[in-house]
Amino acid sequence: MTQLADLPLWARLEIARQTLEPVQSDYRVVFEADIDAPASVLVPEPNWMACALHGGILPPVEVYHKLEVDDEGKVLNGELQHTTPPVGPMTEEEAIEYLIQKDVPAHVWKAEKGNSTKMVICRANQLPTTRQWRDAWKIDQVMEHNNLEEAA
Amino acid sequence: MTIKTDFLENIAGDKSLAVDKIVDGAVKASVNYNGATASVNSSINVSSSVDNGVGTYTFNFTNAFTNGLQSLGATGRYVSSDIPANPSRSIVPKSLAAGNCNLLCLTGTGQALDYELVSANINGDLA
Repeated sequence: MTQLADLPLWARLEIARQTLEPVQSDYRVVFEADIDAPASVLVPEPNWMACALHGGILPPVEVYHKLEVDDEGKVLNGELQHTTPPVGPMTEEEAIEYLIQKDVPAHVWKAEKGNSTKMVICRANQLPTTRQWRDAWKIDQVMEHNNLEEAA
Repeated sequence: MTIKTDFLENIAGDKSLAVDKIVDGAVKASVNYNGATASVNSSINVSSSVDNGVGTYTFNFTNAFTNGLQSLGATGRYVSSDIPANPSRSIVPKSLAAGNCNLLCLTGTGQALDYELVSANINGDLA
């Protein structure tokens, strides 16, 4: 009998989409990849979150980092996505960490030092309730500072 | 269960189709997105959506494409109350990469605007 892990990634995703109930996460990742652009807000996709919580479907996040792309944008070793054994079940928090490493630019989450906060994980209800002035959204550095003081 | 074949043919034998045409022509990623609430209504092969600002959204793929040359078809509508006054609209792919696509939603005058519905289908070869 064919095991789920033996199938290519796209086939695992298709089976998961048909069998798993989507999970709407309350977490949001706010990040600033470009100092001249407004803050971006990453929202996990519910079907993907269901896969992450279930386990046995998604490849390790390192696989995405190992994908080699040539000068013309062609992926040279895409089979890694299918042949690398999938990771086991994750908690929702672990899934968010995985997603950050997969979908947020590396210079944001990999920076060892900096003089400002570039990324915040928050709840959906902590974001502004309307999109008025959306292009002026920035991570509140003062709020972050206060939170750090409270935590200290 | 997997059925392996190269061609599908009707019983009369006067119509046939290569399986490759079906596989290659199938949508490999799709998304139905609400830009007003920054949430995905439904999708295939999408790991996350990113709200980058007014009218600009990125969709990250779970299974990457072989390159950034995939074919994209997108349509949408902005908030219903805006339609009578300004019905013209366009969705522009700001970037297409193997791992994601970034769409820019515009009014007829070229101004970025949040759409309450963005519907995109992406064809191409998966890596």
